[in-house]
Amino acid sequence: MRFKSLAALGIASFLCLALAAQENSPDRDAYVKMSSDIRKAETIENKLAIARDFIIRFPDSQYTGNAIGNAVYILSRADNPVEKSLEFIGSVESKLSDTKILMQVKREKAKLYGSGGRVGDLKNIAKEMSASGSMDYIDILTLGRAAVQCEAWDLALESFDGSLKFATREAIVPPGEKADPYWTEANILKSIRLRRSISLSGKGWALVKLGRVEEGLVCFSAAEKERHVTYLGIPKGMLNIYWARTLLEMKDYDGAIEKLGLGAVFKGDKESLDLMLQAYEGKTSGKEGFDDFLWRMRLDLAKPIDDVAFRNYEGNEFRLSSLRGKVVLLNFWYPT
Amino acid sequence: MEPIWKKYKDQGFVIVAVDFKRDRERALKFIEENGLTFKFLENREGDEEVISSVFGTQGFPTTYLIDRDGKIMYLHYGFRAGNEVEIEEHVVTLLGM
Repeated sequence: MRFKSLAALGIASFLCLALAAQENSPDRDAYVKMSSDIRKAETIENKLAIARDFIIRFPDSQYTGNAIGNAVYILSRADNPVEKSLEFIGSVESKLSDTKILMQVKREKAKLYGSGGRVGDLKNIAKEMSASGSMDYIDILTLGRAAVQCEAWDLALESFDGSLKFATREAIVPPGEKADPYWTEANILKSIRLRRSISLSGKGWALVKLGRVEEGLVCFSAAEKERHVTYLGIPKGMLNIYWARTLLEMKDYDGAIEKLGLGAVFKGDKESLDLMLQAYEGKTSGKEGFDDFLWRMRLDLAKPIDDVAFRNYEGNEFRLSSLRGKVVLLNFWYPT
Repeated sequence: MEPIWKKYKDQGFVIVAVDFKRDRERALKFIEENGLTFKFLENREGDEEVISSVFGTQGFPTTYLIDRDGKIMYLHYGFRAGNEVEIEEHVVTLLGM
């Protein structure tokens, strides 16, 4: 009797220790501390030292890549951010050996080369990344976007075209791998469409910039079919911006206006509005009446809100449709 | 938002604030502390998905201005109600229609 219970106690203790070891992940604790120390640190140099310290102590952690990203972000506020960031990465790179982390570092470098206009370096890192044989969607997309930034259009085309190969079920949920419950059929299809939309938009823009405008437009149409839009149909991503820019170049002002409409009116982002004004000026040879024009477009494009039901604090249902006839400001919030 | 509500409520203007986290205790405290008198609601259990699918997901527009026919005329992203001056202009326009 006593022997059995001692054994049981032994097993129980062992299990407790094993679980405790899992819960206390030292790298996570150190990363949390690093983040908090960085916030408190006053100079950029101090912040960087804290980040570097973490990376050197934990070169193989799931947080190492994040720490490098944090350092790049800190340096984005310094002068010469691209140079300084590349210097920082150079100072820690030799300590790293995990393939995923090394690829993440290459992505960071690609982004820096892109924003720094360093086409040659970007092309080199693209070769390194593809030679590794383990490129993922995010890697090739990063290359494409960096290429667009520094106007390396041949690389942009190659990357976005290549990225289409990852807009598949197999790339999103590799067969044989244990599936995350997130990947329901609906979510897989959504993800495929999202990837196709992003890839085709980028590919189209690269083609346009390479002078292959007709092929570019075909890509834009194909991207549009993936319906990468928000509620109200407001386009997400760059498709409508790229498309409108192309149409403006072709002096198709009505076409550009159509592509910009929802974004300009309901997103109100500066780029959409600037392009909309250009299209308007192209069409009417002036700026007058632009505000009226935007207002009329808003009236044209406004969609009715779905009738949803909420609940009041007395526990009764409240339907939005009960407010018909009133002007309503609907605000979603939460108390902090 | 309270001032704009008081100013235009007799002209057919309504403000509806929906707490999508259903943190009723904190919400009521906030309402009381700030003396807010417009309509407060919460989403119902199980309706989190409804909120995000009908009204969009992360970064979803948090403020909608809806005309008398139920059409969304303006929206604002972010967790403030938006530019108060601009919103008031839009409210006046919509009330006049």
